[in-house]
Amino acid sequence: MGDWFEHVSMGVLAVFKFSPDFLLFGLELPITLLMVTGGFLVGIVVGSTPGLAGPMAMAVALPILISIFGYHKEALLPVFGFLIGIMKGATVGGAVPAILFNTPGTPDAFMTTLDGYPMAQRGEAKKALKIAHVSSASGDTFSDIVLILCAPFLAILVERYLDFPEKAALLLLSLTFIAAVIGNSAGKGLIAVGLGLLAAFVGTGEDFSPRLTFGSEALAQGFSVGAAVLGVLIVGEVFKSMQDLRDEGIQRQAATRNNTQTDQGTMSWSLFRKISPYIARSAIIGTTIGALPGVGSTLAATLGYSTAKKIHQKKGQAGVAFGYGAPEGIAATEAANSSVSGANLIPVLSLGIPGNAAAVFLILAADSIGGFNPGPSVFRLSQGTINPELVVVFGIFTIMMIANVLNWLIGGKFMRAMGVMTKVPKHYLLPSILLLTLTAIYIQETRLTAVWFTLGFGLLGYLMRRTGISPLPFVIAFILGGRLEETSRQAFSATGSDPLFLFSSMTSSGLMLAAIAVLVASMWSRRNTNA
Amino acid sequence: MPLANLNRWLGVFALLFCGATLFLWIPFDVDTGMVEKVRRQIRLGDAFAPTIAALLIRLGGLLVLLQRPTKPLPDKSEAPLRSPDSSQLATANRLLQPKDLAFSLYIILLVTIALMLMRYAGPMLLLLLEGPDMQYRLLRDTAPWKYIGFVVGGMFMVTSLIAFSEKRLRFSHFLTAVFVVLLLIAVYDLPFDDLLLPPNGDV
Repeated sequence: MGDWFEHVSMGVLAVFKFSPDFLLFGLELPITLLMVTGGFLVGIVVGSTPGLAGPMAMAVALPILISIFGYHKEALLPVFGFLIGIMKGATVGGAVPAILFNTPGTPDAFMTTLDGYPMAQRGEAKKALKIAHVSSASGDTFSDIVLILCAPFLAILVERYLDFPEKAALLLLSLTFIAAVIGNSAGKGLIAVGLGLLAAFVGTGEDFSPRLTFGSEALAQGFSVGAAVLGVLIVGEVFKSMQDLRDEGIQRQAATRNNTQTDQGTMSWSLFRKISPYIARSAIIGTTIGALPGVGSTLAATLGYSTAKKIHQKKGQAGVAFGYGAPEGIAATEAANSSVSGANLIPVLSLGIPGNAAAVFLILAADSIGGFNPGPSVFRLSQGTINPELVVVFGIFTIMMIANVLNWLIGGKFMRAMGVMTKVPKHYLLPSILLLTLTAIYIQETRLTAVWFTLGFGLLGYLMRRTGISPLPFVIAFILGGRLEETSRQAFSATGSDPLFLFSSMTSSGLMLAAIAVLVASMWSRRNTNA
Repeated sequence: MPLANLNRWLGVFALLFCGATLFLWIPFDVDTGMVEKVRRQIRLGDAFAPTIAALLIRLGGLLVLLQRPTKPLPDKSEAPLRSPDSSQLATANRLLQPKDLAFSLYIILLVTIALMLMRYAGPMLLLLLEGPDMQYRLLRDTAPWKYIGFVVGGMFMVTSLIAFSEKRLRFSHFLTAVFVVLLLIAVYDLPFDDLLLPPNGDV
């Protein structure tokens, strides 16, 4: 127990540490704290801008952060601080254009438009923003507490009871689950997973000659994680959005009426009491959804909203109906989508499996800097020795709580000032994002080949979107591919070259059967839904 | 394209791709088999993992072929940028159409021209101004040479793509491109001595 407290205190102190490398007028600065604050404010700006979102800002910021802080373990917490700040800020900021202009700043704020915009049209925009902020901050804080309580125990369970065959089976189960739940077709999810794995295996392997390269020198080094992730997630989306804009034509935002005399942006105690059960319910829904790898905040927001709507109708509660400017609708959506962000880190920290696009960039940061490999081993404790990775984990938990405090203190005021960001024209933004992304890739890899690869993956991401294939299973499979192969090799050796190594124990057999059951259940449920 | 047709094409493509990977790509481009014997121990070879990946694609293709035709649902996944609002849902969730090929070709063409300009503008200008005796490589980290390729290529990329989206060319597109390129130089180049803007790491 004493060891745990030592790690916790070291993690907390590392975040508040004043760095001699960063001076202002000769005074040392608490650099991680500053980075969390900066990232949080940038996140709100990004979330408030339709066409931008947290993962995109994280992608662009990463090479700059690495240039500032370098490739050593002291860089981990400041870099994570900025990225986590963006992740949290973007979720809050997404409500701003949703309420003011009926345009969700982030995908998960779509349901916020249903009640937020009608409230704004009634002249209650500030009040709607206040409700969104309080709900979002509450959901986020709850989710982080669950993360802090659950992740270590899950990781310890995995470390204690799972050997190599079970770990390989768990990775396969995770990939199957992601393939089955993301998007609208388990088959398409599996195609995305297969392609992601195949791309990860290019140019790698244990043999002296690199595999699957067609004899090309450029492919012999394999595809970098950055090129694949940024290409499929960011460039692919830019291409698709550009075509949508070209097809739809450029549209201008409609302004909302702002009745400043009656709308002071405050929330009465009675209103808070009215919406708090909705916040609590959605926070639980969002946290549960968020803990499952691959299931994003958009689904959490949809479930939170629809559950709240059903309960509201069932109870026959007085007031405005859902869809016509109900404060409960905004509260349910914002609490649900914000409570995903903390819980999404449960599979990242305890299993090393990224659950969403933001988590992918956190893993990418850890991978680029080195010295921290998310997974169950980071929670390993040896008597009398300090595990630096565990210190980083508690530093991350501290960063998340600091971001929550910032959210409560300044998030509301800052987000209310961000309405102006919705005026940035999206068709000007998209090509700028493309140039930014390609520049970021080049800065990291210093070769044009990486830029071409990124564009190639971007085209793949575009085609995947156009064929109804979600790109996220591809990205997650790409990231996990190397680990899956390595664990399988170890499991094969550990079981004495047993060809059925994935079924060598009750646990691994159970995990494999669960993987098959997930696929079958997914096919079955879609069959029934569509019938 | 109707979803049923698209799924059929996608399923067939997945099966063909899997067949080509299993019977051509892996046998000809991976030196070890599914398993290999190293110092009297049998261990997994380099072909094992790609084979599993190809089989997953095959399984996915089969499931897609077996899937009943359905109406497309909004994707529940977390899109990295933003999801469409209701007015745009029909356009944004539409499936592959022949015009998408033309769009892809346009985009590839514009971005390729931009990257070519980025790569060769600096060396070409140096050749014109200083002759063949001066090498660009020696000047790649000195202003103004280090900016020329990035400014020319970057401005072309941003201007042409905005104009492509808006279906017309305006002066404001050019001004936006200037602003974006200068901003990127300010963010990535001015504060750091060790970072190279494209294409200066390749030349």
